[in-house]
This record gives sequence, C-alpha cells and structure tokens, in this order.
Amino acid sequence: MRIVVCMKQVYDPATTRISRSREEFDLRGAVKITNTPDKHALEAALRLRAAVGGEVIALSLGDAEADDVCREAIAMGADRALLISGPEVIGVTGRAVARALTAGVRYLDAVDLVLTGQVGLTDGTGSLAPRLAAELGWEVCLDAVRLAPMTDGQIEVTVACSPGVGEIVCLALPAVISVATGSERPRYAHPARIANAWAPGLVEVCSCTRLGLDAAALTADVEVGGLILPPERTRGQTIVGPTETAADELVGLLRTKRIL
Amino acid sequence: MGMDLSYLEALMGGVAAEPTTSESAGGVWVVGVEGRLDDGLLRLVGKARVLADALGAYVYLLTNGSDREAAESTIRAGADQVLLAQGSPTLTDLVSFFEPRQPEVILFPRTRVGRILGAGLAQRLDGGLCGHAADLEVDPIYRRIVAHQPVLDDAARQRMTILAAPAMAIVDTAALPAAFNEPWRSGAVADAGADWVPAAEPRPITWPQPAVTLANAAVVVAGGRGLKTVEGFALARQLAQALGGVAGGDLTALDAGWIAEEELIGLTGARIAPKLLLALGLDGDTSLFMSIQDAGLIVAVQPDPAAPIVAAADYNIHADPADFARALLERLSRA
Repeated sequence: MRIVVCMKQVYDPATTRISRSREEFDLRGAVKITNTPDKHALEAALRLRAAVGGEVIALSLGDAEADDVCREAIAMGADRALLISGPEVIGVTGRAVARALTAGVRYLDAVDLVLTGQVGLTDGTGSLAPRLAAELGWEVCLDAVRLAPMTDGQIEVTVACSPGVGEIVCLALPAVISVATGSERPRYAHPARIANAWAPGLVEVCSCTRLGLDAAALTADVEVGGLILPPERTRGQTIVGPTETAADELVGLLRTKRIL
Repeated sequence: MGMDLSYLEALMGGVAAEPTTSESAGGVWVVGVEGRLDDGLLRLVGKARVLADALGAYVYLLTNGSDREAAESTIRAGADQVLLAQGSPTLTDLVSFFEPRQPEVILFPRTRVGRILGAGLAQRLDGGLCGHAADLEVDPIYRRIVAHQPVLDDAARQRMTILAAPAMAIVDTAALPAAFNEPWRSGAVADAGADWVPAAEPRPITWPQPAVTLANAAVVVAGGRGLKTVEGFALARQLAQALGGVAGGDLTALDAGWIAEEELIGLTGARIAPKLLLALGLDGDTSLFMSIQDAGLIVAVQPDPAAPIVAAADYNIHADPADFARALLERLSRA
C-alpha cells in the first residue's frame, strides 16, 4: 500500500503573538514547526504500514525551510519525502495548495491513500482533505480516529462525532482521509533515525513547473487581510442590587453567553 | 455579474420580478443537505439575508431537510426561495446543480458534510473559499465577500477577502447571531428538481470517555472561606450539580475539611479551564490565580470589594455567597 501523508510547516502557535497596534501577527519570535495534527496523520500511516506493509511518503509544499518537515517525517519513520518548492509556491492559498499537492500525488504514482492532518495550527481551516478529494476524484472522510484496512480494496474508518460517540464508514481505495488529533499520539523519532534523516536521496525537491502546473493554476482565490481583535480585557463589571435580582441577572447573562 | 436592480424598480413604482429558479443567475445560496433543518441553518439563512441585502440579491436555500411547512420557518428567517430536494447529494450532484445557476455566493454550515461538500464544490467550481468563517460581510467598494476566519484558537479573526467567483464560505453557525423570525417576509417554496440517492447509514459506535474531573469540566463551582460552614459549602456542590459541573475549593476550604485533596484548585491541586468558573466566597491568592488562568468566564460572589478575586473576575456580585447560592439554586430549579 502506498500512503502519502501531507505535511506542512506552520508557525508554532505558542510563539506566535498578535500585535494589537498593527492588527497583524507579530512573527518576530515565531518558530516554524511541523504542524502537529499532520504528525498524527503520519502516525496513522506508519501504523497502517506496520499492519499491511507498503510505503509511506511525506508530501510537503513550501519554501526551502520546509525541508525540516520532510526530515522530521523521515526521522519518525517515513520512507522518503517529496517537497514541492520554488518561488511560485510562496504564499499560495488553499485552492492552489490543493492543486499543487494533487499534482504531487499524481507524480508519486499508484498512491492508494492520502492522509492529512485535521487542521493547520495557527490559521488552518481543515479544508485540504475535501479539496484534494475533489481534485483527485477520490472518496473522502474527515476526522478519522482509527483506520483498519480490509481485504477487498476498502478501508474501514472510525470517525469521532462527539466525545465517546462515533460511526464506522467503509471507503473504497484510493481515498483521502483527514486524521483527527484525538487519534494515536505521534511517536518520538529515534535518535539514530534523526541522524540518518539527512542522508542524501531521501527528500526529492520538485518545482511546480516540473509537475506541470502553470501560473494560472496557482492564482489566489482569497486575499488575506488584517486581524480583527476582540476588545481588550477590562476590569470586571459589578452586578448590583439585592441578592434575588442579582441571581436573576446572572441567569440571564449565562443564557445569553450560551453557558446555560 | 451585474447588480440586481429589482429592489430599485420596486422603489421607483415598478414591479419587482419574483425570483425564478432556473433562469436567474446569481443570488446568495445556503446549502443544508443533511436531512435536517436546525437552528444553525436558520442562523446561516439570516446571515445570507444580511449579505443579500447588501448585494441586492435573493437568498436561496437548497435543503433536503424539510417539508413544506418547515420551509415556512426558513422564509421567516430570511429566505426568498426554498428549494426542496430528496436524498443526499454527492459532490458531482452539487456541481451539476450549481453549474447552470451561476451563484454569486454559496454558504455551507460547518458540519462534517458541509465541510466535505463546501470545500469540494469550491475546488470544482474554481471558486474562492474561506474554510472556516465566524462572520461574513460585504466589501461595498469591490462588491466582494469578506469572511472573518478565527485564528490562534479564536484569539483573533483574520479578514479573508474572497476573490474568485463564486464566493464560498463554510460558516461556524454557532458563532452567528440568533435567527430572524419575521412573519411578514414572503417567499416561495419549490421543488429543486433533484432526486439524489439516499446516503448509506453509517454504523454507530461508542467508546468509554474519561470521567469529568476538575481539569476537564466545562463548569466549575469553587467555594472558599466566605461560605463559612460545611453546610454553606454543600450549596456549592448542589450548584455544581444544577449547572452540570464539578465543585472544588481553595486551600481555605481544604483546611476547613470541606473538600477532599483531589478537589483542591491551586498550584498543589488541579489546574482548571472551565467555560464558567463560579467563585463563591473565594478571596483569591497567587496559587489560585495561577490555576484559573485558562478559565473562560469568571463570576465572583464576594462581600468584600477589596478581595483580590474582584479584580480578576469578569462579573462581581457583592453579596453573601451562601445567600446568593440559595437564590441561584432556586432560580435554576424553577427554570
């Protein structure tokens, strides 16, 4: 089974700050990391490979720094990686990302399964998996917590709907599945594997032109603007009045805030 | 796509043409095809109404979740035309439905089906998509839809101007204001002319969940010295039960023997992150404040206006905590 895991590099939300005066992200101290939900997808892929055999390939898109994501995936256990890079992919939006990754999946050839993380940290929306499925014309399933391959070219997917409740769906392969963060925790890379991840020939870097994508296919579908910030936290209000009216007021307040 | 001038015509004394299904291009479409018509969908129709009023367009609702009577409620919520369909559409069904209609805006609710169909449809129609919108507005100069996308766990929202047509958004309906209910609105209910194959029923499955503890509870009622007696603290427990949450206490409550050690909130106890923290008679100290940093709404009932918790709380009630707890319990049992 050839499994492709889409992995992206994001700004670590813990180090990303918001500038109130400029109404934009303050990225001066921000650190780039591998999107953690994507590591859950990689973990699911590695478990599938252990069960049925095959190959796990990490697929990433980004600037030269995204090479770190590929190396980390290989250190965790991926067999090899494909990085779609070049000046034309800097700042591309969702539609173009899906097209480029689709071209990458077609380039890798004979792929049975594409896994993605549930959502990108910091500013993700979780729409990559359905976009890829639409481009590839494959079946799709979101928020999988467990994947179990079946013999007749199908995969049994357990999906979490709400805490403790889910449903089982069967998908025909090839398929695109987004893996929920509630699934198995990603493994730590073995130190020896980390050292060997920089061996030559493991990460293939490919430009969009080589994948057959022109500039028209990569045009932006949305334009990112400034941030809208919630009002600054001020000193709390006081609910005045006798106990009974205050209790009434609090109940009304909790209703409007949808806590009751 | 030109502006819909029918409103202007109506204003000038002419007769506005009724919207028709097949001939009219454009419009703001809401797609709710999960076999139900819930409040979230009505709120989304309301948001579509606001956008359509700014664009001068009609609001269409494509749904398989209602009969004709239930469709009336969506007209009161702002829809001009409700199109009823049978079965559940695949992505290909939706593409062939929308391609001849040339919609201007398409909105989906952010459910699993909405996410799959919305993002897939955007890709197939070459549209622009905001995959997670908490609010939408119209840029009046360029006549574009601007979505507000939550970032950093909704610490802020990012403006996303949707450039490509159709403009599409997958909207978190829980973040939208309440649905309109305006009986004077008129609209039409029609057959969508779509007979889709019913979706296969998925096999349900359940698995055990970790019990609700202080650390993961959505509501925490915390009691402290101000409750005065063990009977007073019992009120905190009753309130926690009435609010569907968990009771806890600070070090003063532990020292008084009102709580067990695992109910302690503080540096040596649990760190909590509830949506609502109701602090009854808590003075508040560093140990407590360190552990309640992630709490959403903090309501403090504290007779002493100089207590440190007063500065940290979102809402303060200067009353005797036990009296207030009794009054609140009575209100909650009445409701």
